[in-house]
Amino acid sequence: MTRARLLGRIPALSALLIAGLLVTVFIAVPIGAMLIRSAVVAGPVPVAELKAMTEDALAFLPEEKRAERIAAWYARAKPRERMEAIAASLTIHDHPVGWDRKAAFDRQIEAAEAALAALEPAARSAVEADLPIAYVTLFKRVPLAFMVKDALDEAGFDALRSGEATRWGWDHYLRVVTEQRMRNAALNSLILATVTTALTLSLAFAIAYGINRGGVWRAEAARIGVLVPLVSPPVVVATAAILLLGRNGIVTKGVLDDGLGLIDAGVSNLYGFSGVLVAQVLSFLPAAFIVLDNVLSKSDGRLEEAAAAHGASAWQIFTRVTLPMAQPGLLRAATLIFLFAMTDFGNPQVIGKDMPVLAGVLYDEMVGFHNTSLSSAIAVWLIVPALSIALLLGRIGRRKRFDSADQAPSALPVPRGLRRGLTALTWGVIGITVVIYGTILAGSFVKVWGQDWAFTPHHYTSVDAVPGFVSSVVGITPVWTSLMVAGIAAPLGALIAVVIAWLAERRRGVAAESVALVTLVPAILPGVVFGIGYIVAFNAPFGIAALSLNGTHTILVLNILFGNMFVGVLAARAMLRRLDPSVEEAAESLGAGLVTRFTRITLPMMRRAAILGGLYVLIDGMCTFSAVVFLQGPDIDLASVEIFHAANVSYYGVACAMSVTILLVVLTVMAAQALIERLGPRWARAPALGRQA
Amino acid sequence: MRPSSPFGGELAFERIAKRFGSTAALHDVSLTVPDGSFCTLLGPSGCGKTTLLRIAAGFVDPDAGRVTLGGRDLADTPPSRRNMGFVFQSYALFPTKTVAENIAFPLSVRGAGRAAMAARVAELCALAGLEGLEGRYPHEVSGGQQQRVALARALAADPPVLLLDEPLAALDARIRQRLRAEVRRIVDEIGVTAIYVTHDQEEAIAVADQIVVMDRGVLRQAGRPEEIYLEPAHAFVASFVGASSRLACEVLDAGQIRLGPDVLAGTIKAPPGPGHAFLRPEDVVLDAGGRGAVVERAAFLGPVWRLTLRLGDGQALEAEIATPRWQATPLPPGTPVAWSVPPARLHVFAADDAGAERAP
Repeated sequence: MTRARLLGRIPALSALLIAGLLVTVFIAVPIGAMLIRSAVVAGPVPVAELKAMTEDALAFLPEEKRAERIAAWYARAKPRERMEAIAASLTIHDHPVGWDRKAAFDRQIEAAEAALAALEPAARSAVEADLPIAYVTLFKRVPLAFMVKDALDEAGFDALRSGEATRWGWDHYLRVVTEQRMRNAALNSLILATVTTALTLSLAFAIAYGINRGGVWRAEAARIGVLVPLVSPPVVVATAAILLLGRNGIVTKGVLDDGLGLIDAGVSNLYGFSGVLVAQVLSFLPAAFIVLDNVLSKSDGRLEEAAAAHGASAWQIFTRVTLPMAQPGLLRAATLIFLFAMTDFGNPQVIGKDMPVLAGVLYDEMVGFHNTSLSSAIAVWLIVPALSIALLLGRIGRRKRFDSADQAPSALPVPRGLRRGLTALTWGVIGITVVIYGTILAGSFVKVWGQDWAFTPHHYTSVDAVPGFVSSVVGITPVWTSLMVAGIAAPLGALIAVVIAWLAERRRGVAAESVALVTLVPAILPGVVFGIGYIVAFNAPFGIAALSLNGTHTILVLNILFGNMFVGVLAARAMLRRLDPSVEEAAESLGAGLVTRFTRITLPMMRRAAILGGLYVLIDGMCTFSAVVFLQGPDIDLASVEIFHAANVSYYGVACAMSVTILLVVLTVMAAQALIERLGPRWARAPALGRQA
Repeated sequence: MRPSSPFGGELAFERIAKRFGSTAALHDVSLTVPDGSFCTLLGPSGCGKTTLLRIAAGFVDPDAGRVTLGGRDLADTPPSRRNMGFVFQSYALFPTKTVAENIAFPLSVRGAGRAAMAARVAELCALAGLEGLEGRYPHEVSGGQQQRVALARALAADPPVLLLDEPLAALDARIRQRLRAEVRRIVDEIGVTAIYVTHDQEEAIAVADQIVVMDRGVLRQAGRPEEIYLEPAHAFVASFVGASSRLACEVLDAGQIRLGPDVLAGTIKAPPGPGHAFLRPEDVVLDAGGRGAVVERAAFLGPVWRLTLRLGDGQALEAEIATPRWQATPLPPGTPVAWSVPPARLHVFAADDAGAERAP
């Protein structure tokens, strides 16, 4: 390899280096920092260790003054302090402290002296000999620390002065198991996630099966209808459910209570477990559907036809052919939904009433106490069940892979009764979606839902609609902040994604492949984890507070960019795999250098993948809130977070108004994209650049 | 008309070796392609011919050896500076550019002016028969037209060398036959040195000045088409180029072999001992004074009858008989015949020659 050829590799190498640096700093480091933080325990140093530290510090005093100093300090010990010293000395010498440490001090002082007197003479003199040092350890460490400050390093000085130290430990993890409050919440979370996953999966599979096997009327329209709410503003379903079925819900209060007098809406409403369940199932359904639809639409229908030709009944075909073939997809969808359900704190906070869940505890610890260590440990607990089940089942199912070249769907007729059922189910779900968004739209224009039905545009413009409501939010302005943040992240994310995909597919090599793999990590890890990771990593990078990114727009842009970039990477890689690599070699042999080649040939060919990746960053960036809720500083209001806050304090009007605005923005962007697609260059219709990305 | 290029002249490969993992793709290959000649690399898939072409283009670095053009070592020259036209099997047209933009691309990256580009594109479109298609995108023209675009694009920057990697393989047989003559015509008109990779011997014979036969990373023979066909230097060449019967025999001294009970004279390139004799069906002559055999099968191929003869020792020999002489019925199976072959057309190689085992 000569110098000239080495120089020719510099552009690609530096691109790889920069990409590697970016994903390390903004994906790997935050997650690693969060894991480290979860195992950092701060606490008082045990008294024996503390005594050793004190003795070490005393050793720095001149020898002749040392005993004198201790004696002088101990001479001034008050009775209560002497009692504490006795207790400490007893502990140091492994004797039990036999009196009630919570009793009044007079009683304790008496008891301490009695305990000392009751010891055997040898033990007693040993305990008494250590009383002065125990006293200094307990009460004179601070002056001592300052006396010997020059001789100690910073950590040693801090530890001596405070009597506290950080250490490695599983304490935060154990608290989840040992503390009643968290154990309850964890149990609730597991039950909720299990039921949500089972329900969501059954519904999604039934719908996906119906749509892909001719069991649903107007299958193409139904597919779009089910997929539309895939990315929607946070807690939309929960908010709509409250507006419909809550204490002041139009159905519960308006019809059943006030209208018919059948129930008391204050008692019978959707708050609680069932409310969270409904909200989660409807929110997660599109995600489960997209996975299962993908599997069922690609499975080879000929196999089902073959089974029928060999005499299998419809039920036998379903249980012995269709279901086993869909198994990998079911596993993926189950893992995904379980993760979603475990880490969701929005729905439980808004509609969960008194049912604590583990993700809610995390939210409280983080927002209320800024307890990053405990929050990190809880975050790990939240993802452990789903990931371990996925790994376990994935290992068992590894031998089973069903790739078939033939992707023609089965043309076997679906029994009429089943067809009716699946059609009713699918269109019923779509109908509920329509009702939900209709309710949100209505809620955004009603003064006070359930009480004052007067029309008002004020939820969009200001907070006048509800006098006395205190918020920094003015109408829908947070939406524009969100649009700006996501709008900056989107093109950057698309570009970085395409470059990384290109490096992985065309340069190959372990390094490029690892970079691409790291970008996928946020796809598996829920936003909560990624958000906490950013706080821990960028609060004071390298211990320098001036570099802190917390509370800035920058950290939000970075988090949204790197948290959602994986879609672009996946799309671009899939596209590059279909594109003939010799096209780029052709450009090279025709005289184009690396940069020319990339900008004039590769990038235009990747247009569709880049647009898709950018759109995803933009839309998801505007809608998700579990990561940014912890990152948003006091001066910045992102719409997704504000929707959650508003819904959380029952101020539904402005939540609805912001949701509606977000949806309008998203629809506008998608319509614009479709228009560009239609009016775009003729070459974009080349089959090689087509949409089966 | 020799285009003026920064460098040109004779293209030479000197002792090229290349391994991919544990497999040797090329083993000590040396080859000289004279300036302005049309050279074909011929061999079965996996023989290393495409690797050699990609080494010439600079897409692949050889492990050992060097490539020179007009005496100048190309090791330090990246593909984008070699100015070699490359035509890919898949054409590798830019899907985002029109036919005209594709052809103009090498000029555009060299900073050519708009007018100069337009003139050159028009010239090349006329040469390649692409008039009227300039504004189309690649997916809007036929496969044969895409192939012409790829050729025109590769020639646009006046390269001293044109490298063609199975350029016709993706087309159907009829178009392939027409286009190979056209490729040769265009290359002749431009006067460029061309290396043409193919696994199709008929195509190689039809277009080349010089054919290079390769087998498992080794260059077996280089020469004019008729040399390759008539005077194979290696058992692999004898079996791969054209159809031959291969017969096990024993090489005797004095230019003779023993084939079953018979002793024949031949062109011997093997030491005494076990050998393989190669005979082309059209060289086998049926005459009264020859060796004995029995007709086993007769197949009508149009211009000829192809006879399968069973020799005395049980080996099979193919012979071709021109149709007009046997208008009525061919020799029915079981007919005893006598055959002979001119000594110059009986090629004998040692039995352990590696290539013989891979004869198709």
